[in-house]
Amino acid sequence: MVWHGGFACDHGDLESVYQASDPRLQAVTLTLGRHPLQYLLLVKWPLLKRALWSTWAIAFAVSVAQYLPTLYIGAGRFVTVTTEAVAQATAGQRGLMSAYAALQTILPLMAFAVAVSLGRPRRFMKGLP
Amino acid sequence: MSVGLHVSVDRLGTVNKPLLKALSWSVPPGAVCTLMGPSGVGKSSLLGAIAGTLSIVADGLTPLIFEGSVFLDGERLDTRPAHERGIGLVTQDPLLFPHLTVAENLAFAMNRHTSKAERAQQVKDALQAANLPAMSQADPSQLSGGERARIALMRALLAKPRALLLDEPFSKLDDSLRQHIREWFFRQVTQRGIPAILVTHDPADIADHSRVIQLNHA
Repeated sequence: MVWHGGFACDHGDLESVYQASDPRLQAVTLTLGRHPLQYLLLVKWPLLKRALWSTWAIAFAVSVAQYLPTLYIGAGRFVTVTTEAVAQATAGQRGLMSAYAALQTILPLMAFAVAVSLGRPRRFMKGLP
Repeated sequence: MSVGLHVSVDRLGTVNKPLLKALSWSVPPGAVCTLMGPSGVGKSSLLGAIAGTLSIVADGLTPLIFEGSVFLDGERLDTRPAHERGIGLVTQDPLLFPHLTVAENLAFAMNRHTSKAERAQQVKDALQAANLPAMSQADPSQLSGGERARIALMRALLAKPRALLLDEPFSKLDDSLRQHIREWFFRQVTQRGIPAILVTHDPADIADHSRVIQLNHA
């Protein structure tokens, strides 16, 4: 699963979100006596969590759906859900092929569920009243 | 040792175009000094220079350069980073952190060595002072403009600033609320005995006995 997400995650999707964060929040954070590193950990990155996890989920879904890039870049050495699904389809094993097809639907669905759950920035702030 | 805030501006502006030149003034503890002037004269930039956030707020624009000095209670601050200056900033838009509740926004300003019980008590007291005791767990987006302004000021005060900069904090409030919040702001500053600089376009915002500095283009 991690292979799929890491394989296709494009930092270009996140760059605009990262650059668009309001610089005035940084100014306010610093004037509250917080270190610049705390601005990153407690403000900027938590606000980016949703975008980060959404990008990961989309990248994962795309990765799962892509057969040829997986095959070419992996040079046939890596077995993925996609390559197995295609292999089973050509082998004519309908039962197994259906299972892989279902897996191709369920895995991206799980990735989006994870993204929705972990993308909530509030989780970073444990310990505050 | 001189007490209060002393600001001396030799030059503030871009490399080619100065916004402000040869300006110097002091604000005693508990007093509010008002800066007025036309748009684009450099009022907010001047606050940024005093707070040490000039390079952050001017992000993406032509960089502004500040030449001068900032002293607070005799200590030179302009050579220190923003988070070590002890100067609070309240902006025109009451910028609350959108991912935190009201209580978390207030607690964010406190020293991290403060115990949890003490932190909770201070948040409770701050909400009481802001007349918003039931808003502890509210999301910032649920607050009205006036409520956000009060929370933003309380948050700035909870950081125990040694000076406070107010950049048009009343400009987005309706008239009925404006007078009330303005008086409340000034009362907080006086009670805490900290020097404050207020930027405004509205003469009605000027505190009683406040020194007014009219800024003009350099």
